[in-house]
Amino acid sequence: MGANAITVSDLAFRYLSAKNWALDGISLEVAEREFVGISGPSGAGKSTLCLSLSGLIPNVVEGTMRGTVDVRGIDTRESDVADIPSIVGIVFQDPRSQLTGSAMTVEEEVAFGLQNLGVPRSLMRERIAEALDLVGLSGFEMRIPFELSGGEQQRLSLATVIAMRPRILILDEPTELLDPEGAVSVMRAVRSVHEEYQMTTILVSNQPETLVQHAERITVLSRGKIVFVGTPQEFLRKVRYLEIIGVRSNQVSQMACQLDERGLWEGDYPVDEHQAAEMIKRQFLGD
Amino acid sequence: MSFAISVEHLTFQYPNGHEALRDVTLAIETGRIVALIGKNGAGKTTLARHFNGLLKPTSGKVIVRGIDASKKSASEMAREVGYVFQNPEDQLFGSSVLEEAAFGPRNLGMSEEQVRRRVETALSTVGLLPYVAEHPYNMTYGQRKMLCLASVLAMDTSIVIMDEPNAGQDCLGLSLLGSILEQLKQAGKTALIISHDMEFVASHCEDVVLMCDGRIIAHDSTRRVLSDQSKLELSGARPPQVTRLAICLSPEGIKSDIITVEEMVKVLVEGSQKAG
Repeated sequence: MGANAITVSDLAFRYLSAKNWALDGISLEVAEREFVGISGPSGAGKSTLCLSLSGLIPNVVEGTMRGTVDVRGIDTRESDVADIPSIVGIVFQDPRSQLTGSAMTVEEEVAFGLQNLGVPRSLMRERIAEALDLVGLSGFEMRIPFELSGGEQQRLSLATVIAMRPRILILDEPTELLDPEGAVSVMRAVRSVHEEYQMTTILVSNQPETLVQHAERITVLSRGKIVFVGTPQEFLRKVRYLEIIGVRSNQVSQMACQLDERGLWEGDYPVDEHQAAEMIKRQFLGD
Repeated sequence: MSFAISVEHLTFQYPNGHEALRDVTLAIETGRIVALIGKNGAGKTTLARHFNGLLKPTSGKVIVRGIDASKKSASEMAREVGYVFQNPEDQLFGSSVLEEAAFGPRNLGMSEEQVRRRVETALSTVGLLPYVAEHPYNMTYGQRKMLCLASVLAMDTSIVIMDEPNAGQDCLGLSLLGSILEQLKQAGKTALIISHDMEFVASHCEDVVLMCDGRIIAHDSTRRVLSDQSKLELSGARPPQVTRLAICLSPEGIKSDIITVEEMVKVLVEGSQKAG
């Protein structure tokens, strides 16, 4: 296995004037090109971890930090915050807080970050077109960002981030405020970006169906600590434990768990309804 | 049968010319817990804002508890209809949790003693009593949404409308929300929630109103609407995962209108007992 994209060692962070540590002893390694899911109840420290991985903690957000975050060989405490967008890109939950608010068109919105990075004009056009194409917004160049739907705005946020070609993409609950159609369109865009650029991707989500569909590995946080790391199959096995700490599993694994407790289920818990249907046909319907 | 809300031939056009509601007719019985679903832009919020007088019909009628909502101001309607906004930033302005929750009942002209009792009950219902002195902006998004709900519950209105209360809630927040809906039901109130979370709707709502392009395309029991895959897809929604499983298994003789995990487990357990 090659070098890690991210190495977090014993990270702790306390916000200025807060009593409790938002993160309390986190150690985590993410390989290059890996797709990692992060879940956890609210207040677990998920967003704080995202801010730490993107260097906004400790460079912009005030507080006390312990431990280290190494992103592709760079210690975030010693990095220049202006260099980070070309290494780590972050997409937040609410696209309206991400978009500049000053860009008149979709094209200008994507150009904004590139100008700040000092990308030459000739290259900019190419980068903008490619980013908009990957997120399915080709043809939207002259549209007004604030008149787009939630799903379109979120894909625009993603385009502004990936145009800067970061090696690592962090998504902090990117679909939680969208309708199902918008959510599917955003995850489709994330998938194409991950595959096209082989970008290391970290997805924070409390939507179990999305997590197990996309993540190769899932980490669960609770009260500032990592309480679980495993494959989607291992994650789904933890239905009862997850329920107690406030994390929802998908419905088909909840079903499998309840049947298992009655001695009526064999094998892994299903990832989706199609797998569940096959397993039920075999185990219950004598196919 | 008495109706908490009745709407006749309601059409609404925004000043920019966009027709958000087209000839909507709807009657919601008193005491029901109803979900309003459909994709963004379908007209859900626009419809709900007619019930508390925030919007006035371009044409048609909106009658809320016998009152013509188009002839009343939003502040007059506030006595009848509590409205929890989707975005807590649109609603919160108080400098503490206590101030925020006390604003509504104070405005209704209650004594300080009554206000205190109302606020305590509402904050304890949403689990925020330990935070009375906290500034709302020091709270998580999920907590701020619960605070918005508390400040509406403190008004003790007979109709409560919540615009996407479950967005941003973890599963502990969701089960709390479910028990709040149950309490409203017990108290004989009518509740209307706008939601994209079909699992939540399946477990906690009795009826569903499905909207698409400014029209109502279904209003029926939750079971009937959530298992009607083609109608749901027409409005950009999907049945809950367990219903999608039931639909996959329907050629094998499993009924396709299962909407909760518990029902599916029951069907499979009973089937295996017969077979065994």
